[in-house]
Amino acid sequence: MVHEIARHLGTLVSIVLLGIALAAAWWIVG
Amino acid sequence: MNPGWGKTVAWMLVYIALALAPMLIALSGERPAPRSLLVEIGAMLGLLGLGVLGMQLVMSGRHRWFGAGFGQDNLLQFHRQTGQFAWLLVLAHPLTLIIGDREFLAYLDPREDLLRALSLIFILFAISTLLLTSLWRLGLGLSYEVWRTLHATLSLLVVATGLGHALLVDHYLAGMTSKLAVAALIAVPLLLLLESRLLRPWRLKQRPWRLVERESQPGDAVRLVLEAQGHSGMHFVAGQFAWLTLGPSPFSLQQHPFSMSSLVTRRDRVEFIVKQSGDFTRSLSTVEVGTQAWLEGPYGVFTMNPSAGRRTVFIVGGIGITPVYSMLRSCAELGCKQPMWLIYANNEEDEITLSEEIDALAERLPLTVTHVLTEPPDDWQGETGYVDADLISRVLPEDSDDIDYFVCGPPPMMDSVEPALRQRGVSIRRLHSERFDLV
Repeated sequence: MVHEIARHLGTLVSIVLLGIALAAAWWIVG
Repeated sequence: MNPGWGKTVAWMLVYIALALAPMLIALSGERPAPRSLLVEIGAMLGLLGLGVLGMQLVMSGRHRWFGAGFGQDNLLQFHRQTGQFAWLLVLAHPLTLIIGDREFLAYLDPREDLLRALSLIFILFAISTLLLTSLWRLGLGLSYEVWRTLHATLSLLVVATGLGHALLVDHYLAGMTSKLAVAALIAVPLLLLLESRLLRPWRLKQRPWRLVERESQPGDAVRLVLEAQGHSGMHFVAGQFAWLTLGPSPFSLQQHPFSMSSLVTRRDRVEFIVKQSGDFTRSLSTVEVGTQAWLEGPYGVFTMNPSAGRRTVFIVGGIGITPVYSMLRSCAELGCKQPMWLIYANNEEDEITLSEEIDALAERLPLTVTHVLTEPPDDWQGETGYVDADLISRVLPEDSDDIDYFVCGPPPMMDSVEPALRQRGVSIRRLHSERFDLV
């Protein structure tokens, strides 16, 4: 895999995970 | 071979699902009354942190079944980025909780519960140490072996202590089913870590190797030849690498990755060309012939299929020639007829490793070799400077779908060459690269 893609995947996935966690907290509080 | 977009997305989804698993298990049980938004954010960040940390152990364990096709260098790049994210999560978890409700400060107060406070402070300290020593290993003067011991030990302790903390908090994981599910989930990466550090080296003991030749090479390199002792050797594909350990014990932390430069048909006699650039590699010039050795591998997706009959471009810098040399040897053995181009960059002419061997291969193959030097001698007739878009345009044919590109060299060269090739229209599927700067 070329570096231009590989270098961003971890960051991209981290942002997605963070968004899901924040959304979950929001959902809990209702 | 490069994974396609479909495979990449699929593995990303698998990773995301596994990292979210502790959080999803916690939310699937009987939920207590909601607290403030900040407190619930803090709780979710903690559960997510546990999942991401568990996945860190899986990703760094060189498990062939995980992320197959992505290459160890790409997995470790991903591991680095998610490791930094895990650190942020672990720090943000108590911070957010405390800002949301100051009573959570009690968790860090030794007067409230000494063991709990010490273990939580330990997690914060240990994960910060993990991050700092990984990002600045060389600046801190840490040898690779010391760093590796520290990293493995702290990782195990952080995940195990984090799991203990999650099970004992008794909020979202108050129910026995939830506790067991999360414990089982996180036990898997912990056991995988033990497998990679203990069971795997133990299995290597059944497949010993011995150093039979050691020879200095131009470019401050050394050629090592290992022969299998009492077994059939290692089946590998040209371009792959293995983790080499020298000495009587396969449990040694002196384990380093090197590309095989030998013929794939000689499984029982494996050859490495190693550039002497650090403490371990410098010691290789004096290692005694007859020394026992252990090989864990093969690994790597920086491979070609010589039988495919596709035109191939190799752009390498310095010791990046070693995996390509194995590929070219395989092509020569098969009598490949498809045109190939090699752009080989070095600093000085007498540093060119495998120069004579490459010339010999160019006699046997339809291979056009272009040497590029940054510090050429006065009588140099070849290319000078760095491999850039201009040189690529002059030396290589116009791109087409039947050409594959293999790039391997120091990071600055690769950072320049990959975008240049992409700008020429080379698709990601046809562009293969491997980076060696793991830690």
